[in-house]
Parts: sequence; C-alpha cells; structure tokens
Amino acid sequence: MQLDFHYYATFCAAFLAGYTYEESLDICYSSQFTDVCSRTLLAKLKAPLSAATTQLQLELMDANTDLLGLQDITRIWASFHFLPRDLYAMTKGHNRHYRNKYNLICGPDGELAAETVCLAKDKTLQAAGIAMHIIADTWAHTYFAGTPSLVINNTNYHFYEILPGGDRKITFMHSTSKPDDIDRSIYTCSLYQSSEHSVMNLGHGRAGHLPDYSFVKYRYLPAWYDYEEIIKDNPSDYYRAFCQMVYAMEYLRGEYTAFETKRYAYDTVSPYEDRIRGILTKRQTDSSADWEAFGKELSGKDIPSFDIMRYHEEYTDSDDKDATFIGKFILAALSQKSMVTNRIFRSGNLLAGFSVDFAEKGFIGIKDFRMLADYLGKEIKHD
Amino acid sequence: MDNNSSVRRELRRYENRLTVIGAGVMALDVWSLIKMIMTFIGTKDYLTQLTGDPEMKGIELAVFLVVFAAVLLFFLWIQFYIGLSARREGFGRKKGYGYLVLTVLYIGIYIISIITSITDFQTVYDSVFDGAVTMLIDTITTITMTEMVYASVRVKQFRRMLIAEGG
Repeated sequence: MQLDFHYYATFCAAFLAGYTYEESLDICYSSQFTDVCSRTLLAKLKAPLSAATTQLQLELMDANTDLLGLQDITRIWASFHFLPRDLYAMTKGHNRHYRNKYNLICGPDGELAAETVCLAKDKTLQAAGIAMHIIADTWAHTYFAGTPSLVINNTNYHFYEILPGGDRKITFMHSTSKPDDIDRSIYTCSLYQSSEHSVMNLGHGRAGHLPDYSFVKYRYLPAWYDYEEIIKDNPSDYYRAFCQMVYAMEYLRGEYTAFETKRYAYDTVSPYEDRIRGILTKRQTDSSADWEAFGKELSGKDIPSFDIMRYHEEYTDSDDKDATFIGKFILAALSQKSMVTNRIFRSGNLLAGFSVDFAEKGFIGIKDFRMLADYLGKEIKHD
Repeated sequence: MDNNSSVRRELRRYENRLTVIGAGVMALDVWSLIKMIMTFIGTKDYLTQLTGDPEMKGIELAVFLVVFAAVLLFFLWIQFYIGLSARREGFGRKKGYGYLVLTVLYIGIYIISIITSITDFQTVYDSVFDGAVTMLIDTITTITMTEMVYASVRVKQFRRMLIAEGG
C-alpha cells in the first residue's frame, strides 16, 4: 500500500475505532513512517540502524545478496511489509530450500498477523501504527514474499486487468520515469533478472505498483502456483483491510479481550461503506485527497500532510531519546522485527537469520537490540 | 469458465514452454550467425579452405561467396522462423503444422550430423575440444527442438479440448 492508505485511511480507521484526533494522527504517522524509516534516515538522526523498517531503492541497489545480505533484506521486508501468512505450509514435490521461501509468502489473517497486533497491546501509539501498517500490507501484498526470490515473486506476460466491459491485457514496462498509464493498463515494474536472489525479485517488484492501487482487480500467474491463475480483487481486499484495522484498533483500545483473525469491524464501518468503497474503486493512482476529505469529515479537523522531518528535531535534541516520538517508534520497530525474526527462525527457516533468546543465552548479537532487551526487562524473553 | 481447470493450466504450461524454447532456438540461431562471422574473420586462409581452390579469384570467387552466404542465411532464416513461430504459438496465435515439419527435418539433419561426427571424428574436426563442443551443442539443439515439437503438439491438443468443452 502507499501513502493514501497508510496515512490518511489509517487516520480514518483509527478515528472510527475510537481514538482521539491527536492519537489517530500519531498512529497514522507511525504507519506511514514505516515506509520511510530507512538506514539512511536513521544514520542522519544517529539512531540505531537495526530499527530500519524499509530500504530505499539506492540502499537496495547497494545491498549484498550473499547469505548475510539476503537475511538482512528478509528481516526488514518480511517483518514490516510482507508478513508471512503460514510459516509451516507444506508443498508437494519441493525441497526444503524452496519450501523456506514458499513459507514466507505474505497473506492476511495468519498467526503472525495476530501476534503483530497483540504485540502492540498496551504499548505505545507508535507500536499501534506499525501494526496497522503491517496489517494493511498483508492484504495488499498477498501472494508475494519479502525475500528476493525469482521462483516465488516472478510474474510473466499473463497479466490481465478485470474490467466491467471485459478483461484487458496489462503491459509492463521498466520505465521509472514514466508514470503508470491506468487508462491503457500500462504499468512499470522491476526489470526481469534471471538470478534467483536479485533484488529485482523482492516482494511485488515484478508486478510494479499494481498491488498498491486500490481500484484495480486483476488476474495473473504467480511463479509459485504452478500455472494456476490467481484473481486479486483490490477493492474488496482493501475494504476488508480497513475493517480489520478498525477491529484491531478497537482491540488495542481495550474493547475486546482477545484479537481474532478473520474478524472485521463491519458494523462500525457500515455507515460509511458506500463512501469508502467509492474511494477504493475510484480509478486513480493516489487517493490521498479523497481519504483526507473523509478524515476531515469524521474528525471535523484538517489532517496535516505527512512530513518526514516532523519529529527529527525532537529526537536529535532530546536527552531521553526513548521518550520521543521517533524513540518510541524505534523501540516498537525493534520489537516487531525481533518477534518476526524469532518466529521464522523457530520454524526452522534461516532466511531471516538467527534469533537468540536473551533470557537463556544472555545478550548476543546486534548491539542495537540491547536497548530492546533493557526496555522489556532482562528477565523476559527477547521476543 | 473455470480458468484453473486442468486443461487450461496445462495449456498455459505448454504455451509458456513454447515461448521459452522458441526464444532459445532463435538465440541459438543468432549465435550460429555470429560464430560463422567470427570464423570467417578469425580463420587464416578461410576462403581457400572453403573453396578448396587457392586460385579462385575475382567474379568467380564473388559468385561463390554470394551463393554460399545465401544458402547459409536461408538455413539460418528457417531456424529463426521455427523459433519465431513457436513463440507466436506460445503467445496464443494459431499456427499450422508447417513449422513443425521444418523442425522435424532439422532434427533429422542434426541427428545425421551427430552420427557423422562420431563415426568420422578425426576427419571432421581439427581438435578434440572443437569436436566435443560442437557435438554437445548439436545434441542440445536436437533435444530442445524435440521438446518444442512435443510442446506444440500438446498445445494444439489442449486447444482442441477447450473448443470441444466450449471454452
């Protein structure tokens, strides 16, 4: 998903879930910040680099794709943008090496999605924002994996947009300077690279921005599905994502004692269903203006546009960085990354690297996580 | 219409194979052309070896070269056409059996070439390495083209089944 949903739609969802205007702003800012908190930005702030929740294109271009490099990439993308649905899925006729990648395929309503929401319970608004970003992306990025893999993430020429008047073939071009032509179904995508671990094969790069457009419904052949076709209905999926976010935030606010997957706040959202579906189905690459208008109607106040620098000065000038907005975001990000890496490791999959239980083994590994261990208390397991 | 019926799925599988193999055949063809040009430029006294007559000059030589080049390019064009037709069929266009007949002829030629290479190795090749590599490539080309014929036949079969089903 992109800024229109991660920022403005998340604000609307938070407000509908019962958060105040200020709280909703903090949540939606954290949600969108997940898409821009790169190592470059953290280095500028002199903040822990391990808290990076994304990688810029230039960072990916420079990234190694050896074993350690791939683990680093997977830790970030699988934790924050392509949360695996089922780490223990079985496949027929494939070896362990393939299955490890297959098990990282993203999808909604998995165990990890529930753990992500529960991890944010009784924590900061920043943690809630990160959780909402992840939940939203599980719907948009379904069927892709957060690890560079040709055999999982590749697509081919069999790509059709489903339109009321009949299907139209989608043309992909690798042209980053030209905007997507949604009227003629011409979209940009990453360059085909036959190397299995090329960063071009990370996530939904081979399908371009298509998964992030709320209006589009399409069918295609994912590389892992053995020539079976998948239909991706973004308007429907995005609506359920919105309703699940509202339900998740109602849970985080304490309206429910437990969070269940496959449960959505349809009742809360139903008075606005037509309005929301109208925004989701409107044929445009950026729905920010519509979501912003909706958010303004709900709250009665303007929603400030997303400013990446808004909390930088607070962080750099503060003596107690953990108490600042970005400091809280960093702790929440470290916590999420730690949890997901641990779950992937415990499933017997080394694609995200090793995970160390601090309570048993003492502190070993990346020093950035020391602050997380201290924050959680050393008696508690690091996840 | 079930887009994931076993017939449609297998049709997509074999169509994909056809497009990939067709591209491979075209690439091999381009490589053959490059190899010939490199041989022409890089081999000393290549013209003498080709004509078998060191005294051939002038118009006679020119005519010989033109005819030689025309024949070579003709055969290269046939192979390119085979690859192109395979890709077109793989992308959904209806193609007849013409290019398949040509493919079978080519397979026959390659098999004869391989057998001759084995039986007359010393005569055909200057070095063991050259001979081994050439035989390997000929073998791979033969297998590739055979797979292409099989894929094309299966595609035609599945398309007939779909028409029979009304799909």
